[in-house]
Amino acid sequence: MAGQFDPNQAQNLVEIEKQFAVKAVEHAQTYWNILAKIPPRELKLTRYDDEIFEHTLRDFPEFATAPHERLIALDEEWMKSKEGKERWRVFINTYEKKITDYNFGSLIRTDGTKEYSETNTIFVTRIQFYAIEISRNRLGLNDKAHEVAKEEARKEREEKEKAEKKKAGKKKSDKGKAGQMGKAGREGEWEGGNHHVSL
Amino acid sequence: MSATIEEVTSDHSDHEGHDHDHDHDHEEDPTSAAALDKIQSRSERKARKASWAWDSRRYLFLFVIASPDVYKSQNSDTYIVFGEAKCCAAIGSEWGWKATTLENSEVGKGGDNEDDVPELEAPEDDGPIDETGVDPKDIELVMAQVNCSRTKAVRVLKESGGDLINAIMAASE
Repeated sequence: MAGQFDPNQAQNLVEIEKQFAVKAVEHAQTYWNILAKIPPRELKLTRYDDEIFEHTLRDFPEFATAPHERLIALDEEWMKSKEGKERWRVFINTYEKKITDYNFGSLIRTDGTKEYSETNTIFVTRIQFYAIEISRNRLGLNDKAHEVAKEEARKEREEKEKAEKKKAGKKKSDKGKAGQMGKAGREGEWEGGNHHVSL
Repeated sequence: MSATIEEVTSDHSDHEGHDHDHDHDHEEDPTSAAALDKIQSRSERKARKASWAWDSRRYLFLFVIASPDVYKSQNSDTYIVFGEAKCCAAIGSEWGWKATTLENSEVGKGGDNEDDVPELEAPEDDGPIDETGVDPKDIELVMAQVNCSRTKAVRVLKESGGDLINAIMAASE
């Protein structure tokens, strides 16, 4: 078993893949939380923001032309087309030595005015994420998202307060909960007899 | 049909059958789509669903963990507890369980209020740290986001090479 690890033979372990997914989601979540706090035009994500911004607009002039619709709504087809891929590849490789994680998978919102969701998210490399989000931030294209994120954070805070209040007076809503819990049980993994604990 | 859940006894086999037509007029349910939407992590979602399904049987089990390591998730009220769990009691009853059975025991005090779990701070965060090369705005933002010490914020920012998101992620681990 002490053999060398051969990456060419390595399998894609489901668990490991999940880890990457978890990281990507955490990354997206963290970014979204920052968007809620900081006005995007003032937001700085890396030490190289200026450079990345300039480079992005230079290499992708279609992003630069107002009203920046190509930057607001990403065209995945284009990004993953032969031509798009090649242009991005050149761009991405410039950062190989500069940005750690430059080629890590990251989640980006296809429509910059909206929040992360199942239909509004695609997978890109980390440096593409920075290129696009930094440009969006600086050009004010994330201002709307900032408001959405802020609103969401406010709601979440309220829910939390509500939940805490509820905890204090726990007894009352008992029955209501029980109704839907059955539903969760259907998909839950603890189905079966293993919640019996014998004494 | 909405009252069926009341009849659940120690025999859980009837559970599958009655889960469709309860009324959905509940105040707030942790397993509802809206609530789950906010929980981004798939594993947390699963765990929550599983644990609520458990609760629906109205059975409360008490596990005692002698020397627990408790971590709190940064973004939600979720705690992760490591340690060897020993089962000491199963109480099938209403919410009032703690008032009757366990009021005076150690376990009851420790177990009934998860709010008491302290948030863990990394111990190595004492003492000043050189802040040169680190943007003070970034430091403050990390501190605010993760609720950590200035020293820790500076350290994670240095380690991430000024990458804000990575720094926050590292600090919240």
